[in-house]
Amino acid sequence: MLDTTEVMVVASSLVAAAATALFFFGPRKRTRAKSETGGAQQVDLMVDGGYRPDRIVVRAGMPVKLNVLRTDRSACSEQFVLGDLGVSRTLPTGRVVSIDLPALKEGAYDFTCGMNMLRGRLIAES
Amino acid sequence: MNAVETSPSLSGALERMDLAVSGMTCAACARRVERTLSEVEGVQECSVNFATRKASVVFDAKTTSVNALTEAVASAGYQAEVPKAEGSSEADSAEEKGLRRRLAVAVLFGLPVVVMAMSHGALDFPGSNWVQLLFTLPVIAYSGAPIFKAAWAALRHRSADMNVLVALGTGTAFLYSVVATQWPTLGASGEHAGHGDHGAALPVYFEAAAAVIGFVLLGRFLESRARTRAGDAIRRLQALAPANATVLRDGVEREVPLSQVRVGDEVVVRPGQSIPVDGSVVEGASSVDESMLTGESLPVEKSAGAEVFAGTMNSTGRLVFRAAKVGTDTALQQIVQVVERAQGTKAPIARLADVVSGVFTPVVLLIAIATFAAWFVLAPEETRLTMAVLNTVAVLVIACPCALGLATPAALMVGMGRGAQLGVLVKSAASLEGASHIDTVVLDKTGTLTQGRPAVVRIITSGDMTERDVLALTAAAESGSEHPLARAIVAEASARELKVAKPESFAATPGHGVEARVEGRTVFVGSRRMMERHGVSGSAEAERALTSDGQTPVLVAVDGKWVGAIGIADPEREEAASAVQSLRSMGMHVVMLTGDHEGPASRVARALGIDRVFAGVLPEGKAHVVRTLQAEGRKVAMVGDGINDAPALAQADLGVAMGTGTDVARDAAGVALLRSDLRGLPAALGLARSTMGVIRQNLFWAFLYNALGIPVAAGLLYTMTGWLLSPMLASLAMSLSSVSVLLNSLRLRSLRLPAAQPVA
Repeated sequence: MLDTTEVMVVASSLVAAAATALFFFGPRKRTRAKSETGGAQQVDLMVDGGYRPDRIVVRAGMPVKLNVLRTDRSACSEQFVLGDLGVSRTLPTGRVVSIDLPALKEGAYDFTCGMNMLRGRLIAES
Repeated sequence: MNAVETSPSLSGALERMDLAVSGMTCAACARRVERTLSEVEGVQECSVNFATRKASVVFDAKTTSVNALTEAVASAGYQAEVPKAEGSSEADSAEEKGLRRRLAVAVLFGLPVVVMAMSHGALDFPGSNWVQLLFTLPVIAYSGAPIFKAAWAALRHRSADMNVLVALGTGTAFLYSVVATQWPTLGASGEHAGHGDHGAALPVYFEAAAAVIGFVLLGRFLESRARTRAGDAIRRLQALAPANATVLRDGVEREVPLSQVRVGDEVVVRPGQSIPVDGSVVEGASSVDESMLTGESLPVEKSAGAEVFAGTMNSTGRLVFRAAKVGTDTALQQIVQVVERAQGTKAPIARLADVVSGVFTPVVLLIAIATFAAWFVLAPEETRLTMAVLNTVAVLVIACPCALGLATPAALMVGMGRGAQLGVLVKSAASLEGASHIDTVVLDKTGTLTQGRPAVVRIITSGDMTERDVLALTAAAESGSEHPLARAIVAEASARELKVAKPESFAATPGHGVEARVEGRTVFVGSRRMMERHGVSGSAEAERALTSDGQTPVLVAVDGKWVGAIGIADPEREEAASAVQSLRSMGMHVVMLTGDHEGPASRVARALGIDRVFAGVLPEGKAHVVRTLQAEGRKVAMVGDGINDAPALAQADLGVAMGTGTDVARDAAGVALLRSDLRGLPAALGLARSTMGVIRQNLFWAFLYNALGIPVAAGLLYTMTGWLLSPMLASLAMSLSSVSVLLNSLRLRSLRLPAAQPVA
């Protein structure tokens, strides 16, 4: 039979596992793109060990301009890839790279780092 | 992309410059920076964008300097710098230096800890655990700092990468050891507690924490070097354009930064200099080495009107040319962009790896938690805490999402870079994967396999006149004609340096031929109908000989008597035979497609060793031929010029645009051969096969490594063999796994593609 300590360890492991799963796979906050009159909708995206924001909502059927600023120096975040749209850019540290995207169809477009570790999603809604 | 740009509307010494500003936390900061910059003497215009952290300044270069601007920003409490060029190697090497320092500290302080731990008590003395703790501290706090920082950043974004795993692993080992040092009897609780007895004290694992950080840094160091080499090909391409250009302004030569060359500028290039931007020559003549751009090994002669391209090397003479494309519009930059874009695309084969690596770290965390709980419950009570901690740490540090993540991009980067060096541009990873499966190649005859212009290949005479005389007379008669056959004859005569007389009279009958008076003689040149009309006979046998060989016969009669027949055909290109040979030795089924008649088509097919011919195909029928072959279950590559062949290129499993030269971004083909040389095709297909082979190996090893490593680290083998993996070995394996993926990919750098070599 399990002793008290073991029961406590197993119980806290279950809690920790549930918390871990929720932490990484749970729902995320969404950020809406700023619309500029006459031009593209703009999104400021920070890269420092992850994408901030990592859920971006844009209007479908309207061009999008991503202003990406990478502040960290890890090799992981160096590459910015929007695979579905054929976008791949090298992000120099400390410098904004503007990426112009065409008007998007409704749907979700994942963006990742070159190794697919850091992830974010661009959601086009009408 | 350029840090310094002179706007066309600016005159004199005014310069526009973008500065990267850091340290701004709010819009008010941005206004402060803006005000500070505007107050600098010589600044005409200034705007600071908070969102992009960028200050755009227009200033008079005579009264102020970039340094003055950055100093002004610094005095306001922020930092401004000239943005470095993309992929700057300066930043890279600074990083490598930092990495080396941290690695040195880890070795210096970590090694004694490892030696003490490995001595199995021989080097123990009272308080030795505290000494280990002291030595481990700098390794964690200094060497490991970037790992912990990056892990924290990732967690803040609710994402997880390798840093999170390593930080959790080493953090756990370290904290556990600190606790065990302070309270050595904690784990052996209750009646089993040893009460200060040395033998029952909890063991410490400082060496695990120190060694893991050391190995991870070592791996990262090796990785950064390998990674730098992986991107070499493209960096070298980018570095081909010089930093400065000599521009003629108001008749005076001025040296200006490359970014200041504008369309329409007259640019001067001396012998031995590389050409800074694209343009067309207005003055001078020289030969230019374009091998870096197209793989073409022979220098190309350039004189007025010829196009020159950025990054190519001017060798013999001085050239003045008018800039037509500058900045990112140059062919060189287009190539770089195509390759960079392609390197980031996803190969279908990597889809599973993508899915796995996306959830990899969280899943490993879950496995680690399960490992801890399982060992704590199943291991004997005296050792359960240490066993649980050790195996959990081993699971955390052995898992390597990096190997999985690097498997495809590393191979693509090296393979596509190598391709670019050989004049083979692959547009995406999907095209590369498609190219590796190709088993059938469809080639257009005209222009691809043949030179695309008719030429004299054979002359038969009646015996009354020599070959040279027949040719000279015919050329004289045809000298006024614009007909392609006529031009082939005139070209042949001038190639043989024959003296061609001026005809006294000339009359052309469309569809028949020409009649001319040359040096007092009447010359008929044309088809059999022409001969029959004038009652000339005797040419039938020669005509048959030429026709059966797929040549077009041009019959010649002088003063009513047949004297000879000239066989004209579209000759094969010099390199076509060796290209077809290479393709066939790769196991390709080679198919020729042509709008031409059966006769000339099979002549070329015979000469080149082609398997199958589709003759008489109209341009719009090409796609249909591709479909027919696909219906036979073949994977078809279609080679075309990229514009007229668009439907067939799109229908094929792989579209190859050949000889698009430097206009690479335009067409929709999956592969572009920069050089108009068919041997690029076997090279491209070979490259695709090799690269996909490396990707497959990388993925296999990365999957296998993690699939075996994690269970072993979790202690699965313990029940059967009693094996446990120490965290130290786990971290060594992890570090080496991503390095091995990179090294395997680097093999592609030295890939030899015999077909891509120039003809000797």
